[in-house]
Amino acid sequence: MKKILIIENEETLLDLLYKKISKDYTVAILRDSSEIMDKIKEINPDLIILELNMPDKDGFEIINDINAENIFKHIPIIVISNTGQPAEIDRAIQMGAKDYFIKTQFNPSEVITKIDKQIDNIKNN
Amino acid sequence: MVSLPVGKLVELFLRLKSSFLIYRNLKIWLLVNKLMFFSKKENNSKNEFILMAAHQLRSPLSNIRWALKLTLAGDFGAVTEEQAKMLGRAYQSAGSMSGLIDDILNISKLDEGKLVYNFSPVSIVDLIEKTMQLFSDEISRKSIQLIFEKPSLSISVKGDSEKIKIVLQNLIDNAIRYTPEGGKVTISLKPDKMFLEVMVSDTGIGIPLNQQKKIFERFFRANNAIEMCPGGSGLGLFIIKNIIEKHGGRIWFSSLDESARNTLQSDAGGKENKGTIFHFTLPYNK
Repeated sequence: MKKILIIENEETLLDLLYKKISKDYTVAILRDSSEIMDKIKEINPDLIILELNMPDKDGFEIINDINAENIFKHIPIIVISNTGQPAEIDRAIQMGAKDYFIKTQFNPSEVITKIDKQIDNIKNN
Repeated sequence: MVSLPVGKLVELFLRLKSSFLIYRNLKIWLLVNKLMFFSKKENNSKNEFILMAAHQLRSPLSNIRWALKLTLAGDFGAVTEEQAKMLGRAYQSAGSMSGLIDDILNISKLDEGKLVYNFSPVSIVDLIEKTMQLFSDEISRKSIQLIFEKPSLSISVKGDSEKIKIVLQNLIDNAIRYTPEGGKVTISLKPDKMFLEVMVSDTGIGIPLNQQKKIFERFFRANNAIEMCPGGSGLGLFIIKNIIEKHGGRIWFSSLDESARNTLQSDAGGKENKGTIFHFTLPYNK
């Protein structure tokens, strides 16, 4: 089963994402951004779902850190945007994120559709 | 059937309760804002505080809707018919709350000139299809057919996709909201030389003849709309008219004449009807 890493600090959203995604995938969770690269190395995920608005280190910095490591930069990232501002989403996409969710708009079925799409891309490549 | 444990329902209720209290305060704010608008008074600090609260409310509200939706879908255990009915009502209320918050945020940005536009080529067909997906729950609940008469070729307009999405979302939401169960909402496109015309038609309750001139005014809601859905803000059409005009386009409505199936077209009026078509135009991307 493919492994999905969710990096999110909001407990309720985390519970809901876990409930939905764990039906089809193995799910690992990170609630804070400390020692994040070590944890990614340990988990070795096939896909990362990343909250942009993390405390301490924001999502953009985390994307930069991931891109800086040759062994990780191929991992597709789907970002979670709190504001849905096009500038924020464009920036994440330009930095290499494959897709995005807008926190106030996404629904459970959309989450699964977008994850499946990225996982299919990995299988086909 | 094993029903949802009472503890789970109580937990859900407590999560909802705090947000509904904020919702009540936002409705009071809306009333105050309405009074201030008509008396031309300003109260910036209160405005900013409520705006911040509205913004902060979006994220927990989204969690509430998710939690309700997953619970309704049986992800946390089977729910009885009665529980599903109540959870469904809570889900709809959370949706109304979400709409109200969006209206508050948009009208405030509009008033303060902070509604920033990023014009770029927009595939209108893709945008319509994406926006329609937001209504899958509601059309299923009301057994309404939501149809897009999709053209064979893609059409590119020049605009701000997020803002055009607000316009589409608002018109489709209104059309579904004011159409009785079993009705039909149709989206179609009419290419012209300079502009693309987008139409959203419904088989709904229509707009009373004597109130049609006011339909795009700030805070205005027609009597039959208030009767059917008491909770609206009356800001949606005012906001989207402003958005369309910023694009150099035009928005109007026409009334379906049921006997002849013709449309009686007018910028601010028409025949009292059962069914309305909203039209707006956008410039092509050249």
